[in-house]
Amino acid sequence: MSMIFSLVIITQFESGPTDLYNQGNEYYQQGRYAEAIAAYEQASKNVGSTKIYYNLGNSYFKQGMFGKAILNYRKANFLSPRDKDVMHNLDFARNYRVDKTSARTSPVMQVLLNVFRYLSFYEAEVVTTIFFVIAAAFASLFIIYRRSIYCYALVVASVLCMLFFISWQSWAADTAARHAVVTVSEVSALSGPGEDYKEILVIHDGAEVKLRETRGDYALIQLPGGVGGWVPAEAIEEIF
Amino acid sequence: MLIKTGKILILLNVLLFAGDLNFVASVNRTEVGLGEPVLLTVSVEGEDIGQVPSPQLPALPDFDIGGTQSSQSTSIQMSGGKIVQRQFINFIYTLYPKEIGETFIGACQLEFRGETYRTKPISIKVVKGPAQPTQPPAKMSPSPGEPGAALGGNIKLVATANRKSIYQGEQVIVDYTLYTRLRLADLDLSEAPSFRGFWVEPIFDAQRIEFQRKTIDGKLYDYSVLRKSALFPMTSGQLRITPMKLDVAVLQSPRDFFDFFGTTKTLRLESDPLYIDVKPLPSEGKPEEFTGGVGQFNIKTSLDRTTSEAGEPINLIVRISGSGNIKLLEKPLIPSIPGVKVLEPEIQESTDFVNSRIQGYKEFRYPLIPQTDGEHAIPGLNIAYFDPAEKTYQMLETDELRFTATQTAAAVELAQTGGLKITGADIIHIKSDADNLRSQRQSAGWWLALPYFASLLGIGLSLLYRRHQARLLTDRAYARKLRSSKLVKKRLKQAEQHLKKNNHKEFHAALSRVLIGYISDRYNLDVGLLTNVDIVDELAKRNVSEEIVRRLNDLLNQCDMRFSPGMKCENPQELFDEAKELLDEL
Repeated sequence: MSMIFSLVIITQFESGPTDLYNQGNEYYQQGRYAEAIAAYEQASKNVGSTKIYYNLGNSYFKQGMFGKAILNYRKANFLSPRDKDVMHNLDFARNYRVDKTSARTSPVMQVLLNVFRYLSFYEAEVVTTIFFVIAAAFASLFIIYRRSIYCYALVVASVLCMLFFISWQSWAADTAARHAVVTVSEVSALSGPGEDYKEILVIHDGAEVKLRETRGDYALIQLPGGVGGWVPAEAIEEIF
Repeated sequence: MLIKTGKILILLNVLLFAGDLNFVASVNRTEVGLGEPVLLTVSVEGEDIGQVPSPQLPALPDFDIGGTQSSQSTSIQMSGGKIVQRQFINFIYTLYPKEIGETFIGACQLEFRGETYRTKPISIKVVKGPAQPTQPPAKMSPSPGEPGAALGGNIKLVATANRKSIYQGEQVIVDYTLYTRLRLADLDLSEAPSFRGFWVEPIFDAQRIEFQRKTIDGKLYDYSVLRKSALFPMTSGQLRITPMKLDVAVLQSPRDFFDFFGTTKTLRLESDPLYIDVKPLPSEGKPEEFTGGVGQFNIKTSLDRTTSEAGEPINLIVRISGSGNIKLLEKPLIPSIPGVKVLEPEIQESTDFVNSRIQGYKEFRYPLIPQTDGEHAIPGLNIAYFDPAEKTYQMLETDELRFTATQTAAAVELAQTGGLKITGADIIHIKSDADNLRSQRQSAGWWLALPYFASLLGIGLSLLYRRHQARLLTDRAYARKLRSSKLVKKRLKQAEQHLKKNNHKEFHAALSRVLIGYISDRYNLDVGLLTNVDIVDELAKRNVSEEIVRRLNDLLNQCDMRFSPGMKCENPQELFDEAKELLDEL
């Protein structure tokens, strides 16, 4: 009886996300990228971790699937925006795209993004909340005791809370905008949700788009420049 | 007196335009003498064709292939933020026809980027002996006459090479000099020497014959150098330079008085063939950095700028100067520089004949396109050449160069065309340290709302508390009102206990105290001074409805009955309920 019990535990342990991840790493080292992808994908179903998404991105990149690579790097970046490796590989993979339509970010905007994307979505949420509670506590203390020190503390805590709130909202805007990545090598964007509509433009692997709406099997996407069209829904994958 | 050289190029240009790649074949002449070379030039022109393979020549059964050269040039333009690099690559084949007759050079073929390009065939006419220049000569050439030797050494054409044994790629200078003791009316080049197997760098080609004088073996000769060339052998072994042939018209002395201008006699002059022994370059100790240079060279590298903004290209200028086979130098290999893309170089060269040597420089301008911000270091280049004087390979080294790039991100995407791969940079390796993977939270979820509610509630409560405190201090009525509710409950409870024990007197007293105490607190009146009448009057003043005032009056009066002896309440429970009701309504 105890034999059977221990066996079950071992098999469960074997297929756990950590083991799948380590298995994937081994395949990757051997250059067996397709198998590495399968292992990481399985692991990512149960666990959403930067390490898995990052390694998955690398494996897809090595397979020449730049869209999938960009998708996974962005997932990793969402979880760990301060990870330099992720950022580097994301930028690197973007250079391999066929379409060079990405809107340029102005230097000012870039600095702001660097500042406000220092914390991840979750971290920004929590830190904003903590500072809100602190600010509220000082507000209460000030209301009750009328001591100016509490007022100063309240101002400082409020300003910090506002800054982190901006950071949080910059992420929230991203998640709300339904960002997606084209993951097929080439897809025609049509003027309507159906194959009879006219082709407007051709979009290639790795293009980062916004998903406007889905209707049936078709999705209306928009490129950073503003142009867009309807593509089959399976041609894109949402990041968040 | 002019030398007519058959150097008219007839280009049979067949232009095939496909995509943005031009693939053209041309020959320098369509009519050729047996044994004379035809230069077949196959040119490729297009954008970004650095990796273009050599074109496939058609089967050429009627020709011997003598040698191949290729040359490259590049033009780079930056228009609208996009870098356009057009390259021209010429492949030059020297062909020697084998038989007399009509033949043709079939289509050359080029496979590049999945497309096949072809040139049109070119027909060639092979004639016996040297071909006539295609342009008719201005004067009818006199028919070849008797050999010059018959003139007993009074006229001769001498070919000299300054060296007979050289290394492959080393310079040899070949002169063709005409010596004469006769008066010449005209001379005509009937066959140019063939420098098969050599790269030819012409130094001097006489357009006019200007004689100088020199005494040889006691005889005075007029002499003139007709042609001087620097040759660089491209293969090793014994190379033969075919003789130069000249037709000269010699003025005969006038036979009689009327033959005023005299008559001319045409002679065919022929130089001796030259044999040059070419030693191959030693394979022993041949460095990998050898780029084909034979001679004495120097290298200098520089950058035209040291900062690049928004991905502007910076030119890396590699200038190799010195003496030797400068034009045959191959482009030096630039090691891959992380974060910098190196484009195909633009090549400039210039040579001069100084101190009996070909000297000059070859300059390679490599456009560097920074891909990442920051300071980039271009490692020093190593180039090797063969020094025939020292008979060893020499190494040249350059210093490291540095430049800084800013705002590359904006331009990187533009600079790269589809499918382009940056060499020397790769993705950062996978992360492999995992003992235990856990899901990272994407967002906090609904519970995040709780701290906000709690905080707002806290602020609200503190506001209320603050107001309460303030009223307790300033508003006496408020403080009393706050107290009354507690007292009322306590007294009502007492009254109820008395009711249960049938303690009528105490019950009535308690009930009266409850009501009067409540009213005095509620309306801020002083209890001790109050009689039932006062209470009713006060309440009437304060807009309490008449019915309630009447009911209260009745109730209080009933309670006061406790003082009349023997008085007994019929229904104390009813009285208690009425009191409670009145307390609620007040």
